[in-house]
Amino acid sequence: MQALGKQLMIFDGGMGSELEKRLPAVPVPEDLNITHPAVIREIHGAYAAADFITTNTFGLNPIKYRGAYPIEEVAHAAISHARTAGKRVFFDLGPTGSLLAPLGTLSFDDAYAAYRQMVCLTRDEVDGYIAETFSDLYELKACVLAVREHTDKPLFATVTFDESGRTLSGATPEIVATVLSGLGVDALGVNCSRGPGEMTEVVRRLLAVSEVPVIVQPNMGLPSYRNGKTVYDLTEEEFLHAACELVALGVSVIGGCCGTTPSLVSRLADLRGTPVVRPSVTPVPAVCSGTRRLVFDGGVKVCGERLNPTGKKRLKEALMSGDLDYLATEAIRQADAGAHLLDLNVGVGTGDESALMRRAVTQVQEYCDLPLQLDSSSPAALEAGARYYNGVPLLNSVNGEERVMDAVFPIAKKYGAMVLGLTMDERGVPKTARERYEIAARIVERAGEYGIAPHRIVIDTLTLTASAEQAQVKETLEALRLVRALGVQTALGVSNISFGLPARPLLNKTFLTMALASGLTMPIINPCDTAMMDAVRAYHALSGYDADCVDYITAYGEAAAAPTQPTPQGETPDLATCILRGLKSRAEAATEEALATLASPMDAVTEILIPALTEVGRQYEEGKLFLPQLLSSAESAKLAFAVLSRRLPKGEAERGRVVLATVKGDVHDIGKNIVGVVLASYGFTVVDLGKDVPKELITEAALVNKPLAVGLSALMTTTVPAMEQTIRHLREAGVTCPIYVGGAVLTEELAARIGADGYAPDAASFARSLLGRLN
Amino acid sequence: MISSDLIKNALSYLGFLGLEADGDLRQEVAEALSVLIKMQRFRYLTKRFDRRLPFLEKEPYRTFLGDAPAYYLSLMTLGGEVELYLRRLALTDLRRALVADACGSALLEQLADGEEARCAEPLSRRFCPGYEGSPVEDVAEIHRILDGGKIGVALTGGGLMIPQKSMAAVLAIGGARGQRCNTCPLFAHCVFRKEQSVCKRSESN
Repeated sequence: MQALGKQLMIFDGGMGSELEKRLPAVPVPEDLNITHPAVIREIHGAYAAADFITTNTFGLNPIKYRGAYPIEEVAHAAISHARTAGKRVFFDLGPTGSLLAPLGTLSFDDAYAAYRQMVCLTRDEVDGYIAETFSDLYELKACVLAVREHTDKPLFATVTFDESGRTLSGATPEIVATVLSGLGVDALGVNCSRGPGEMTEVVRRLLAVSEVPVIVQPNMGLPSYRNGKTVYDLTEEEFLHAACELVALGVSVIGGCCGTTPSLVSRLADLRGTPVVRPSVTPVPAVCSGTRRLVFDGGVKVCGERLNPTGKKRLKEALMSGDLDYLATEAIRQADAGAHLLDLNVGVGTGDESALMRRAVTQVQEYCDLPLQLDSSSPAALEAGARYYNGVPLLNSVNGEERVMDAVFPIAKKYGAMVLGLTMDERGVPKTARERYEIAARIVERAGEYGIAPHRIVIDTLTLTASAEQAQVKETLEALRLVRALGVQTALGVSNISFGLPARPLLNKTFLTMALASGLTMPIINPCDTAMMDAVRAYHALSGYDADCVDYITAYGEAAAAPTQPTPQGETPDLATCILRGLKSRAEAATEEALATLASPMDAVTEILIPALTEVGRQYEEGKLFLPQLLSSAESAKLAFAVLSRRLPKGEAERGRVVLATVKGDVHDIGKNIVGVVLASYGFTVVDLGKDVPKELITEAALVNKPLAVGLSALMTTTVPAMEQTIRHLREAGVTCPIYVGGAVLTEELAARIGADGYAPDAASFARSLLGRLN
Repeated sequence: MISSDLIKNALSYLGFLGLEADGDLRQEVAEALSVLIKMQRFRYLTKRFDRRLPFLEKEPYRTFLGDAPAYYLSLMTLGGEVELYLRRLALTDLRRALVADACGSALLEQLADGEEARCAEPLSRRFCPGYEGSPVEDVAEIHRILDGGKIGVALTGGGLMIPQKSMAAVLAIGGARGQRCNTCPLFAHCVFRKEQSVCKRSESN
């Protein structure tokens, strides 16, 4: 293996297409290791010109394998067959065939366990592993961790890209290289997909980023189906010509995938030993999610600070109650506001922080594709986040304390993460810039001992509040200037500067500008604060990062400054009109105006809100209004009700709770969400449990909340049984409130048959029925 | 340029059948379509069969396929990016989510039409499990046979497809096999008929 990365090495070629030549098609090719050992050995022998022989185990894992033999028996037989070729034997690990959540149903842990089983079965018998043909980088991460955590044997990992240059799950070659390099594979690359010529661009992009050798295993061109057989469109000469071009680009290992033959691999083997000459890769500071990569390229990268419960009561409540939708909503808001990455801190002082970090990471990455900065003082929580993160995170944080660095750097090393270092140690925050620089230098040096280069470090020179320690402001800024010489990125939690002083936004913006001029590259701020984002854009324009001020002009030029939706002259709709026409942006102001003319807030509910909603419902039923308009009206009423409920005496605003859920097995929830908004517009408190909800959870919520009613939704006939089971479970647990059902497949008759108390054909009728029960 | 047919179909998914949507909503639909067209990664699997698979031996598939000499099974999706985008909208802006959901359905139909138009053989309309009383569970059969995972389509425990903007279908070779309105099981409650319109499945279309 010493030649890897220095001289070209040769992998074997297609197994499936060789089997197809010799045997009728079989559903489980891995079983041929038992039933047709001679054929398998013959094929391996035919590929003996290669340096590496791949076992016939592509589909051999406990999730995918549906063969007739014990999995360990097949694995051992496959290895012994491969051994007969007399070359290095790499065990083939293919995808599970099931898609991982959130786009599938397989959990990361289940995928990991499947690969761990295969590695533990085979690690003493093989020379290495090739994880190949993955189209989901998250699944490949589970596989790589399973190998890396159970053996030191070499691991090559390859993925497939489509014609758009992305994997099925949306990862670019740069993301693939960043994640796999970070996880410590020995070679990474591309296989299957298409022919060698079509792979050129992807290979070029991998080579430009990958810090480890690149492996390529193309198909024999594009497949077509003729006379019952799959055929490929390239000749050996055409394949070899394109392969030579890939070698010239700098690939380190080449072999073949579907349709390639022993004859072709023998000719490829003539290239063995060719010196690997590849473009030099300048390591860049980068983090990524599964679909988005962020390079610290000299511009300012805004890290959103809103996913940190410190001083944020609503977020803290959400984290403690498990309302992770709120977390996702805050993440989306920051992404829409222009953040480049998001800080994620789930420390609420109670409970299992590691478990919560894992759930939070899983939730946020489903809804938001910005890279994450995982923020915790607990190394276990950082490890949990890094493990389940589909990408390469920034870990926040280490400091100058040896025990902290000893705990966190191994995690960063294992997952390829960047690390944020705070310029403080067991003695606290030093008073001078020079002392902070010295701590930063120590952090960089210790990181280097773990193989973490300075470009993967972000140093935070610590913002102290100007009201308490005014002299420290200039020390923080001076420290920024000093630490840049270490080759690191820099961070500051900017708004700390203004605690305890009036006009905080003014101080925050001014300090941000001063810090940017001093070398700050990653301000940790609220990206929804437009003044702060304005300052960043202005800095980019003035520093030359925004070439020709293109982004600045786009943001603030004449067209952008013009109002996008001019309000008709002289029109000031009242509250009833706002609800009838769904004017959300004016609903709150119109409510305040209405209150000024009414005797009590409850009058606004009974004389304006309910009649307007009733009218909206009538027009909807008559086909004069449609769902989008109904929804806008409901959302306007919901905003109005929120204003009114703050003015109503406690208890008077409460119409009762309604628990809503889409039942287990059903992922359609837009109808249920519409019901939620409409009910809230009438003043009901909605406890929305989401979609695909187990009956036990619905029952628990009903018992805890004691609702006025439970509403269950199912869109498909296949999930109606789950609805029936849920109703039975609720009743058996002693829930006595009425249970309503709705959804495309439900009818009044079916509702009665499965034991529901009410059928809601639409949101408005559900609301009316509940109001009827109240009255 | 987004075709007026595509906008019309999206509006029909929102319930506008034979009625004029106001300009704002049309604009909203056009904008949603524009986003989805850029975001989608349409993928299509299909396979031709000469012999009738067991699950197609029952009604209403038997009537649909009639004496067709062969047929195709197909599975298609707009891809994971669209799925996650729709989930994001559902959290943050339900009205936009509703519009985008309808636009996604219309776009999927249009892209499927385009793919099928390239077939050298004359094809019938798509017949999807769930149509005319056929079991929705048959989606799982098509998914298994075509290996839907290859294009990123997963099945939930309840047999539903993720991404939601995915479709499984049977297409008979030999041309149109439209549903006649007066024999359609949905005749009595058909919202299209009430609006003096017809659905895509109708031969009258």
